[in-house]
Amino acid sequence: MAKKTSAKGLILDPIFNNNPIALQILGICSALAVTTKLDKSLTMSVAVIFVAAFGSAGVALIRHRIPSSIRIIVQMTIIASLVILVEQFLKAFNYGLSKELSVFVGLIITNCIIMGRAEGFAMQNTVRDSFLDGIGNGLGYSLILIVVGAIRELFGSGTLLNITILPKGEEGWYEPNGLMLLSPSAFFIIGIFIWGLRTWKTDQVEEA
Amino acid sequence: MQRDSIANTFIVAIGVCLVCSLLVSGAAVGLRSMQQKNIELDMKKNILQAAGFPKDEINSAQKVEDLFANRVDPIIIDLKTGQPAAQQLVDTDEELGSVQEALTDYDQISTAKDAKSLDSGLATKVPDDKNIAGVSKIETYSHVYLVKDESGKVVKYVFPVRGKGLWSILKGFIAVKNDLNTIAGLTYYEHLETPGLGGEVDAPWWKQLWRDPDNPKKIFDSDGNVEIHLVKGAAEPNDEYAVDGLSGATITSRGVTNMLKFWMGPDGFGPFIKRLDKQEELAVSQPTPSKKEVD
Repeated sequence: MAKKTSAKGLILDPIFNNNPIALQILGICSALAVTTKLDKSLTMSVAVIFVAAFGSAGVALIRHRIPSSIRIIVQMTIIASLVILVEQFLKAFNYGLSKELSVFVGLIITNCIIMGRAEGFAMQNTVRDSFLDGIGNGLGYSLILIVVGAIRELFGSGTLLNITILPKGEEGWYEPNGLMLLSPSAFFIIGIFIWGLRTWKTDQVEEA
Repeated sequence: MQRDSIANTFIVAIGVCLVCSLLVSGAAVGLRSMQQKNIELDMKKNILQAAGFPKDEINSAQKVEDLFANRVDPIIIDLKTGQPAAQQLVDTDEELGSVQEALTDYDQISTAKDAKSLDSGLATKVPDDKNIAGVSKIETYSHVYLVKDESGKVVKYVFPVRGKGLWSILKGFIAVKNDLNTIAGLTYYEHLETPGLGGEVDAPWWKQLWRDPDNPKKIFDSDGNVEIHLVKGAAEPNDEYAVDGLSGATITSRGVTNMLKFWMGPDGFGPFIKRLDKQEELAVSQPTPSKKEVD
């Protein structure tokens, strides 16, 4: 884990080679909940990238001082503060979206990806590497969220970012697929995504 | 100093907490005024939504402000008598300087909660046997919003309602048509019910049930009792007093029923509705300082 990696590797690796959702199967719960609409997915993505990057950097900054007995709670405090920060900003600049995301922004605190990176990476690495690793993992999470969000909004509501793509209703022809708006559809899409990814990168296939 | 020593543990814990609390409180204080503005705008949007304005007419801050200024007349009434009472409110509440200020800034919910308001006459206790909505103190004065059509005739009344659900007090607005019986819409702008279960009170599909033109819902039966209620599962299509309950959210559904029973009943807006009902002319008699004077 502590091997020297380039900035590019730190950022790009978690996107396809070591994707937190697709390979490590972390952070699934919020991926189901916030992906009914693309704008929700995008906001959530930015929030998670921000918290992952600065949370990891913050933990890395004081990693030599954190006593091991309280290290989890210290990481938690840093992450929770950043999440509250994001929540406050969202309420001030996009109140409507913050209401739609409701508890899920707050639940970034318990997103396993962020805790996982703080404990598994930032505790052993430099501030710069941890920051980049946070961005990379945030991007990996975002990739899935955006793909799932785009598919669900397009087929579930016939829109993308609230702009009508597939006209529905009286003058349209498209019959929205209600399943896409329910959580199970995210399972199917993520499953198909993982299948595709592992067909492309066969080293990710687990031994049966 | 040793990293795992007790002293260092305390230093790190206190240090981290200090830095984090500064960060969080800094953001909260710095952004409060913007958040406050958003909350006010959201209230106006909810009032318009309850009154049935379509989504694309209220999708920007400017449109909401314009529509609210042109089509909504806020008034303040005395809940007990049902009479307009903006001036009385200004006289009783020291914090409000003018009628105009009362119409925009008077916060009836926090007034009702305030411990001092019982003495100053701004709120009264609700007897336990009548307290079905989980509101133990009720304010003396309440906002009511008169919604006008393009010609200026009052077509709908929007009343603020609140009551206990499962986890929280649900706060919202109910819009009633000018027959003072048919519901025109119900919205909730603040609640902490479980997302996906009780939280569906603010879902578009559920709100639609309250304003379905083919299946309008009525509040009062022929004797003037509040009859509107939620039922378990789907309501009979021809039952104009029953609305589908929320599945998996029995207590939230019961809360909605109780809050409508309370606020539409004699302890809530009942006197106001009765008074209006008696008047043949539905226009409110008292000249309210409308927005026109401000423009």
